[in-house]
Amino acid sequence: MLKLEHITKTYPGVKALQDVSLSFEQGEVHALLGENGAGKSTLIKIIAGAIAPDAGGKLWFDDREYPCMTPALSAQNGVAVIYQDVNLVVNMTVAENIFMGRKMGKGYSRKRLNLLAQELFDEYGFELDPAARVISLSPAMQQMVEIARAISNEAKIMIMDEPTAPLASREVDLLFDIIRKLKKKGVTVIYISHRMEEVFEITERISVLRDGEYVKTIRTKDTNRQELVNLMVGRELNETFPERQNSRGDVILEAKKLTGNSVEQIDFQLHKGEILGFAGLVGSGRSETMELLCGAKKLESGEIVLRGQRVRIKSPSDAIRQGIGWIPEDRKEQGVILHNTVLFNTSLSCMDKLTTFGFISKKKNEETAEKYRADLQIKVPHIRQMVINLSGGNQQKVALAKTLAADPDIIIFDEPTKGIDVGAKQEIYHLMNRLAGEGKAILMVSSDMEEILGMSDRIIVLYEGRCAGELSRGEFSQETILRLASGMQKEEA
Amino acid sequence: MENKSLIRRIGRYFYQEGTVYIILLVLVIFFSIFNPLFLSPRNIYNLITQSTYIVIAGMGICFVMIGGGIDLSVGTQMAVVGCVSGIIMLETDLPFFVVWPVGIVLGFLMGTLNGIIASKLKLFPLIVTIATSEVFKGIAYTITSSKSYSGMPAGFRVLYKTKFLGLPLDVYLAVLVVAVTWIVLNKTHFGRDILAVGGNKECARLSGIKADLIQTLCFSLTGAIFAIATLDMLAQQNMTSATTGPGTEITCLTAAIIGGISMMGGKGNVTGMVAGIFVMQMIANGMQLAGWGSYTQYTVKGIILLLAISFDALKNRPRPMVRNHKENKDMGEKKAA
Repeated sequence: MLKLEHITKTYPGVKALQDVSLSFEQGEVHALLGENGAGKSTLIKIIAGAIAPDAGGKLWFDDREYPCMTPALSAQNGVAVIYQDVNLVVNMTVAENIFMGRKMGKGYSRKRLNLLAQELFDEYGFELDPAARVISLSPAMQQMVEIARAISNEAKIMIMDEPTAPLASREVDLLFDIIRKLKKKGVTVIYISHRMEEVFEITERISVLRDGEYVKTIRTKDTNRQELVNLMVGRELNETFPERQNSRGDVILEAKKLTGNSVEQIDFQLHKGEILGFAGLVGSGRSETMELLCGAKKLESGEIVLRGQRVRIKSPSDAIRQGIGWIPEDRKEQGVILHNTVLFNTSLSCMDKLTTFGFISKKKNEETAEKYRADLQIKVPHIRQMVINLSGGNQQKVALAKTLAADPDIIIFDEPTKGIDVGAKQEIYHLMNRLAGEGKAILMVSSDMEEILGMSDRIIVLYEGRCAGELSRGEFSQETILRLASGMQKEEA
Repeated sequence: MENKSLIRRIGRYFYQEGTVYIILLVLVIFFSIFNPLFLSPRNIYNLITQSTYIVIAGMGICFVMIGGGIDLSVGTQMAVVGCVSGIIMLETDLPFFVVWPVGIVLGFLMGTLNGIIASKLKLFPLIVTIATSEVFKGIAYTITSSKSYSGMPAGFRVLYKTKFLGLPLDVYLAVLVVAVTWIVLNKTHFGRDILAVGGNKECARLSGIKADLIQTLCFSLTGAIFAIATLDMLAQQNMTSATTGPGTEITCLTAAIIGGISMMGGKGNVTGMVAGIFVMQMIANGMQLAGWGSYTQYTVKGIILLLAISFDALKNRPRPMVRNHKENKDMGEKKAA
């Protein structure tokens, strides 16, 4: 179906891909695995024609041979890429987006397009309204529109780059149903994901890349998680989650009936030295609860009791002064200032400590930055490096350094390892454990089931803006969390 | 190898930040070849003394632009401050040391108005200041009945008339304003807050910086500094009307962009700004010496602004590397927002 031979791609100073040969068969779901920077994205872009490989490589579509692709050529050969960030005209309807550029103008009234789209949706089981405007849809639904567009384009090879990242678990099931139907129709799906469980559920073969080199292709049923992890990182990992001594201390924070920002009546207690996980589907109000705690959004009613005293948190700066630090989910927009240095970023939340009479002490500033650079092992040649040039994991560490420099007692992690590679994930986990060990209280919001089960001491599950239940370590299981998160009771079968 | 990378580093510095100094150098060479008078002490003296108020005004633009905003109403703010102070001095006997604070407070208030509207109502500073610019223009014409006022009191003109070490006092005032601006932006808590808010307002707010307040203060300071510039201009030119001042905003904006202050905020330095202003002033001065009329200057300044923003956009475009693909898009979205 599609064959790559000896593909190499060199950037100044970096070999993004080195002599990769791979083949994909018709009607298979084929996973590409690898840490960030392993060359997956480069490979996709070469297939999609967005970039050209170095001379010498060959791409085969059926029996046609190409030295490189162009976007038009690749579309002709039936390649469609579903990127993580959607690429739709948000003010137009779902149906218009699907048929844009092909079925337009005379003879294609809005009504007819809606009908055509509905047929497609019925066939593949999409739950979409063809007449809805794209802007009113959730990111997950928008992604579905992209997939539907690719299907209607008669794509033969569909490449999905981390398609499940924005999806809640029910939506993941829906996506997998669609993928299975595509497979039956003979469409090849190249599936890229960091989530192992999905790879095992949906794919037939797995190809592993490491540092731009092709490592191995294996049948999914002949392998296991441990082997894949070893292939990806090239070293033995002891366990996925580091062990930790439970060192739970006194109650530091108590939330009483927090209401506002689309959550209602949220109650919980947080102890020193524990990691309290917040689970739930996308839109269940986890991040929204955190926004209330750290003053980013207004609390309508309810109380926050901190160290035994009722406090009012009206702004993020109040929260930071009270010792609550937040590492937001959207790193690039909320966590760090990309176009400035590591030094600058680490100073943002702790300026009061670095200044005397309003003047910055250069020495203290540099000391702080160097301290956290060493402490968190931020991999930068120099603290004056621009944050935009760092990898996702290192950017996350810069955001963490910024928060820690304000010396918080409570640290809120919102999706701490989203879009971070395996190695950096481990480092973040170790850091979280160390912080908990030092007596800090940690709140963690995560959509990654393994992460929340592996890291938390207790888990609070939210459903539609309310607490659906609390689980202690002994009660942890994927099934219980899912039940609570979809509105069922703990004990229901 | 070592040597090559050093050359490359220097090259990159000039491409990224130091462009303005190269332009400055090229202009000096260009004009001095065409007219030997350009480098005469007399002309250099003129260039410096005529630039003082623009340099001060440029520091005002620094605050608002580095803080992530833009202010197109500064030109008409100058007209209002100039007319109000001129009328006060001519109609009453209030001494200059009363007029100065009145002018500065007036500028501060006009800036604050812009800032509050832009930050609290979350509107685009560009549109807000176009609107308030019209308001200020109307005020300036109304209070002057479109007359011009000249013959300022001698006490007020001391700033320009008195010389110290061969240069008028206002040159030292401009140096002082530049120095203070540099210190505030680079060495203080407040300056860092401005850079943070300009770099990413949401991140700054979540990091505990009072972003709306800082943004408003940037506008206020811009207004106040422009008031200082206006009073200096008034002392120099000895006349004011509703049409003195407007136009300065374009000169300052162009100078800022040439000087490496990003239109997206959060970036820029004071020395680049000063160099940018001298680029603009030298073009005006050089063209005057060459005998080109002052109307041609509008065209030339407009073209330079176009070139400057094109270059700014070009160098801020991420280099074509794979991992920059998304960032490129992010930046596009930010611009659109």
